[in-house]
Amino acid sequence: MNRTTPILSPDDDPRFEVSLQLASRFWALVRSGRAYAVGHVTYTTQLENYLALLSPPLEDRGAVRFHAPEGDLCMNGERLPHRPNMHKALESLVQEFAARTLEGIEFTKGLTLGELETFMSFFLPGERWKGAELIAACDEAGLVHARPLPIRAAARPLGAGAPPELAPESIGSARAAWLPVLAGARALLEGDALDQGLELRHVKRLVQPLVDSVLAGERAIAVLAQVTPRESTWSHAAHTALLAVSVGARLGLSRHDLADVAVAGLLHDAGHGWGEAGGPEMVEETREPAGHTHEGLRRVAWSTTLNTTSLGVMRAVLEHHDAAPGDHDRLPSTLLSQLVSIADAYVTLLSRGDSLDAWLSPNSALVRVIGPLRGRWHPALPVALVRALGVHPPGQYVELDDGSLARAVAPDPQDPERPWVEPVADVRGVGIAPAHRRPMPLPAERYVARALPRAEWPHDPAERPAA
Amino acid sequence: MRWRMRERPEAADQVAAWLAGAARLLHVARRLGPEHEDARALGRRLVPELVKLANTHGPLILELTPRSVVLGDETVFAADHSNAPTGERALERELSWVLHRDGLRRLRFDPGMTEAEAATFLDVLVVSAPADATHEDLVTLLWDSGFAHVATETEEADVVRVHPLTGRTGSMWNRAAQGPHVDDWPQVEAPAQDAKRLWDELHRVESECLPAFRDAWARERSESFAGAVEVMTQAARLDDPRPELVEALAASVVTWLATAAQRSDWDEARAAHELLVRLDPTGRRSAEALTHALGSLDAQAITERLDEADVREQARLFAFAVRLGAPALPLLVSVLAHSGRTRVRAGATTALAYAFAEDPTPLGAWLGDPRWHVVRNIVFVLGQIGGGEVVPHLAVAARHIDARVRRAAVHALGQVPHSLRRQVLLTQLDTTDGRLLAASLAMLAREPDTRVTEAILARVQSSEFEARPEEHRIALLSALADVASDQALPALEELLLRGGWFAKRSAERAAAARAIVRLGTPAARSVLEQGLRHKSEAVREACDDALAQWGRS
Repeated sequence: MNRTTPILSPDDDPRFEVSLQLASRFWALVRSGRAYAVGHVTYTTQLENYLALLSPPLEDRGAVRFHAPEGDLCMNGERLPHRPNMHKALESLVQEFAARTLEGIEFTKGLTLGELETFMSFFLPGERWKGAELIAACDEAGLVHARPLPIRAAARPLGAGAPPELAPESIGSARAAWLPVLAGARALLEGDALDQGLELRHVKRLVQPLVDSVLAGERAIAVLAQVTPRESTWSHAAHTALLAVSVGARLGLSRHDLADVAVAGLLHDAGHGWGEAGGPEMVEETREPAGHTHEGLRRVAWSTTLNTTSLGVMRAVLEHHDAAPGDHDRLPSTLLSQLVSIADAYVTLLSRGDSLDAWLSPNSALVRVIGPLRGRWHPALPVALVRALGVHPPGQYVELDDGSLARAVAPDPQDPERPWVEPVADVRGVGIAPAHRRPMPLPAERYVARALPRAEWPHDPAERPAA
Repeated sequence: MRWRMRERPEAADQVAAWLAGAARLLHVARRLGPEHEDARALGRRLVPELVKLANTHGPLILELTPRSVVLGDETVFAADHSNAPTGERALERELSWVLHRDGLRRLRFDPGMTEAEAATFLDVLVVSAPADATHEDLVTLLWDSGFAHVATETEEADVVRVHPLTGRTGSMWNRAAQGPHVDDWPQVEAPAQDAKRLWDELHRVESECLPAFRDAWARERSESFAGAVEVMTQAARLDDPRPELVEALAASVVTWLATAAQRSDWDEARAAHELLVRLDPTGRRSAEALTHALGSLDAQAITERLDEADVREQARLFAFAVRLGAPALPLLVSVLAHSGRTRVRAGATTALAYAFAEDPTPLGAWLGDPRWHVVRNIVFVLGQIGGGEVVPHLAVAARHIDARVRRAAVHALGQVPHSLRRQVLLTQLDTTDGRLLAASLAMLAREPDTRVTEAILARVQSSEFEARPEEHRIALLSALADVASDQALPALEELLLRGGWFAKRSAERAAAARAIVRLGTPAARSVLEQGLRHKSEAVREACDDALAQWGRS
C-alpha cells in the first residue's frame, strides 16, 4: 500500500494525521470514480487500500464519520485542522457533501469491500442520487456499515411572500397557477430587480400554468374580485396579465401567443416609478422626467435580449396608452399592445379611487372601457373583454330576479349575462355567512335583474375592503 | 451478504441506443444545420424508433441530470465531456445538458405516442439545443407543442437575478413599485346600467370583428422581425430623443445582433448592425456592449457550421465581420483558432486584414494568446496589413517564446519599410534558431546599411562568436559580405588567418575567404594574395580556392 506522509510543521498536531489522510483519500476516491467505473480492477484496488487505512480507526473508535455542519470538515465531531497541502481536498469533499445535499458520510466497524463498493456506486453519481433519495437508495440496497448522513435541519424553501387572501373555492384549481404569477410579478417589479437583467423565457415559464388554467376553462378570472383601490404596481401587473390572457383566450389565440401576452401584461407598466419619480440616473438632472411608457421601454430594453417576445413587450410598454389605433402620427399600435391596453384600462379603473365613495364598481369600470374608451382598440377587443369578464364582472354585486343578492364570480363562457355567482343574501334579505357561500352557475330559472351600484353594496368587511 | 446490486431494466439498452442516436442528431444538426439531408435522415430514423420504444416499453420515465440520463436505476446516457474544463463549452453541447439545462428534470414517453409527436419532440430538441441562439427554452417549446404522450417535470428558475453586491433582488429605489399603482387612464363617465346595452351593441358585431381580429393578428405575427424592430425604434425616438433611451435601444439591438450571429444568420445579423449604426452612428454608445456580446458567443459552434458551409455563406460571415470591425475580432480569431478548413482560415485572415487595415492596434492584444498558432496567424495578418503601424506588434511577436511565431514575425516584417523593420530584425541576430537568423539576415541584406554592418560585425567580433553553431557563423559571415565593404575586412582577415601555424581546414575559414572575395575590392584581393604565402596550408588552400572564385562572384 502506498502510504505518503506529509511533512508536518512544528505547529501541526499529529493526532489529526490519520483523520486528514482518511478525508483526503476519500476525496481521491471520489475523483478516481470519475475516471474508473466501480468494479474496475484499478478502482477496486484503491477501495481495498482505503479500507486498509480505515480499519484501525474503525477498530479503535467503532465509527468514522465525516461531516461538515458549518462548512468545515469534521471527523467524529472534531474539526480537521488546516494543512496547506490538504486544504483543497478537504474543501472539495465538503463541496461534494453539499452537492449531494448531505451532512456527511459514516463508516462503521464491520465494513467490507463489497459494501464499500456498493456505497460508492450510489455516492459517485452525484447528479443522480441526492439527499433523501441517496439515503433511501443505500438503505434499500441493505448498506449498514457505510451510509450517507442526512442534513439535520432542512433549509426553508424561499417563499414568494404571503399570498393575498383568496376564497379558495372561488377560483378553484386556478389558485395554484395564480399565486406564482403574483409572487413573480412582485419579484420582478418591486425594487430594481428588473435592472439586474432578465430572461423573458423564465417569465414565460412563470405564466404558462396560468395560460393553461385559463384555456382549461378554470375560473382564474375570479381573482379580479380581489382588486382593491390603490393596489400595488406588481399586483396591478399580475391582474392585468391575467385579464389580458383571459381576453386573448376568448379571441382564440394560441397558448404560445397567450404566454407572450401574459409577459407583456406583467411588464407593461415597468416604467412607473422611474420616469415620474426619477430613477437613479435622473437624480442630478433638471430635465423633465420621461413618461412611464418611454421609461418602461428603456428599462425593458436594458434588461433583456431583443427577440419576438421582448419586442412585443417593448411595444406594449410604449403603446398601451396610445389614443386610438391609426389615429396617431406614428404607426398604429400592435394588437398585442391593444390587448394589454384594454386589460390595463379595466384593471386600473377597477382600482381607481382613494375612498369607498370614489371606488368604481366592476360594472362601472367595464362600461367606461366598452363605452367612452372603446374607440381606442380593435372592435374585437371590447367584445372579447365582455366575454372574459361577463356583463357583470367578478366582484360585482347583483340583484337576482327573485330579490336575492349575489356576487358575480366569473362569467358563463356561453352567456356573459349569466355569471357564476356566490349568493350573499336570500330572498328575505337575510345575509349568508361567508363560510356558507359557494360559487355556482346562475340557476336556470333565475336571471340578473340589475347590477347594484356601489352605494347599495352590502357591507361585508371580509370582501373587497375599501381603502 | 446484506447488500445487493441493482438490476438493469429490460428497455435500458434500447433507450440507450436511441439516446445515442438523438445525441448524434444534435451533433449533426449543429454542424450541418437542421435542414441538412444527413440531419433529416437521422431524424427520420429516430422517429419510428421512439414511437416503438414508447409503445413497447412505455411509460418510459427518464430522469435527467446535466451529465447523464437515467432510466430506472440505470444510466442510459452519459455525456462524453462530463469533465470538460471550466470555460470550455463541450459539455453544453451534450444531449443530457441540453435536456437538463432549462429545468427539465423528468421526461415521460407514454404508450400511444404517434410519429407526429415523436417528430415534433425531435424538432424541439434540435431547435432548443443552441441555447444562445433562441429566445425560447426547451420547456416552453415542449409546452407549446401540446403533447398528449410526452409529459415533463420541471424545476422553475427564478425570474429575477440576485444583485451581485447586495445579494438582494431589488433595492428601495423604486418607490412607486412598492406603493400603489399610478392611475394613468383618463377620467370618463358612463352609467353602470349601460353594461347590458353596450354588450348588445358589441354582440351584434361580434361575428364580423372576431375573424377580422384573428386575420390581423396572424398578419402581425408573421411580419418580419427586422421590420418590426425598426418600427419600434422609430416610434420610441419620435417622442423621446433622450440619449439614455437611444443607448438602451442600441444595447437591445446588440443582443439581437449577437443572437443572430450565434445562429449564423448573417443576413439578420447584418440587418441588426445596420439598425445599430442608424441608432448610434459613431458607435460610441454601443461599442462596449457589442464587443462584450460578440466576445461571449460560442464561436466554436459557429466555426463548426462555417467549416461545413458553402463559400457564399462563409463570405457572408467575413463581410459581416469586416463591417463590424473591432468588436468582431474575437469571433474572427476564434474562427482562425478552431477552423479545420484552410479556406476558412484564409478567409478569416483576409477579413482581419481588411477590418483592421486602418488601425491594427486591436490585433496586438491577441499576441498574448496562449495558442501559438493563433498568434502566428495574427502575425500573418499584421504582415498582410503592413506599414509602420504594425511594427510595434511585430516587435512583440519577434520576442515570442515559440520560434514559429518569431519566424512568422520576421517574414511579416518583409511588408514593412526597411527603416522601420531594421531595429526589430537586428534583435534577431542573437537568436539560437538558424532559420530565423537566416531569414533575418536575408532581409537585412536587402538594403545594406552601416548600422546593419556594424551589428553583424559586432557579432562576428564578439567573444561568443566561436561558441555559436557553425551554420550561424557561416550565415553571419556570408551576410557580412553582402552588407559590408572594406570596414569588415580586418575582421574577416582575422578569421581567415586564425590559428597561425596550426590553422586547420574549417568551414568558417572557407566562409571568411568567400566573404572576402565577395567584397571584391583591391584590399580584399591583397589579403587573399598574402594568404597564399601563409605558413599554414589550410590558410593557403582557403585563399587559393577563394581567388579561383574571384571575378565569378
